Amino acid sequence: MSNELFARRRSLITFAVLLPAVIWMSAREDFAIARQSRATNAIDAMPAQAAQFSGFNWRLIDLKAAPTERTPEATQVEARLQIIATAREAAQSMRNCRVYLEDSTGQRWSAQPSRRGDISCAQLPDIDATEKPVMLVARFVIPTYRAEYVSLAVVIPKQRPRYLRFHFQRS
Amino acid sequence: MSGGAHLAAKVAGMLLSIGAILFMWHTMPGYVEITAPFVTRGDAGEWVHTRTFGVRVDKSYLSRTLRQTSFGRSEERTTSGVWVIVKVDALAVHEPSMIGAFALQTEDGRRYQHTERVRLSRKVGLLGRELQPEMPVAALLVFEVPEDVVANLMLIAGEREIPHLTSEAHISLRWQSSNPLTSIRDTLDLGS
Repeated sequence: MSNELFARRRSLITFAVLLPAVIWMSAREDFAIARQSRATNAIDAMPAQAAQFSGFNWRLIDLKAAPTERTPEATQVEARLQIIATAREAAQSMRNCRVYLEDSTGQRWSAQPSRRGDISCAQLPDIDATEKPVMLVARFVIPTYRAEYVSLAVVIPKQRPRYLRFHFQRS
Repeated sequence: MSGGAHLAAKVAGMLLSIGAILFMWHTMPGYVEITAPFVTRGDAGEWVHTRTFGVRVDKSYLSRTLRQTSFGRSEERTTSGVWVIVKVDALAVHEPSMIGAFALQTEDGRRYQHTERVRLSRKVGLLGRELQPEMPVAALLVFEVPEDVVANLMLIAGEREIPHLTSEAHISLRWQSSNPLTSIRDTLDLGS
């Protein structure tokens, strides 16, 4: 092999290695930000099962559905979640926590504004949940034809892309 | 290769490179174009779905005065132009979302933002209201525009006021008569 051919081949291999390396180094932060901007990786749990997530033990106590009075095509779903913190500082990681209903295609509905006396997921940073369990209540209004096939999703910005998902089997 | 041919090839290569640079210089999109919103166009009466929300223009009205009841008191708002009231339905696509900006665009590109002179209740307003998938909500949008531009107006609904790489719906408004100025009402009650 002539020296020139050898030098050309070496340059080509160096280029093939360096190009993806440079792209990765310059864009990895953007990739990470894009990945953490959405909750896509579900940690699946069954309703009766307690699941560990973000320093809390989560248990889905109830997910009740009833058609709304005014519009039968809409159904109100009420979810009750019992949670207990495993560490005092865990509550701080719950900032901007949100609860959704999710169907099999990943389509999500957010909870209605909470009623007086109810504790919502977003209030957790201000509540001490280490002493005794806290009951979270979330109410949703979703299309009636979707009510049979929804799961409950708990999304915490600090944990993304991971999120907790309770599969619910209607009895 | 002879010396002359070698030189000619070098000059041709250089000219080709300069030509390519000039071509790219003139055809490369600018920052504003690269970060422009993703626009979905449609007509009044049909659903226009963007990546994050869907919107449908139901009816549009023109009025010189708006009447509104606030804390039990009837208030009237006049304008030096004309009030445009657009009745819309809106929903989220795939996950909860908001429509953060509404404007009317004239034929020559001027944009008039949703008015801040009229406070709409959460029940009829759409700004700051969270939309849900497959759950359309009806709402009113209110704009104040000069009278001479009402014939050709386009509703622009966007995710945010600064529309960099966001979704926008552009919907042409339709009037019942060919001359919309004839359908301007004296007073329109926002409560009715």
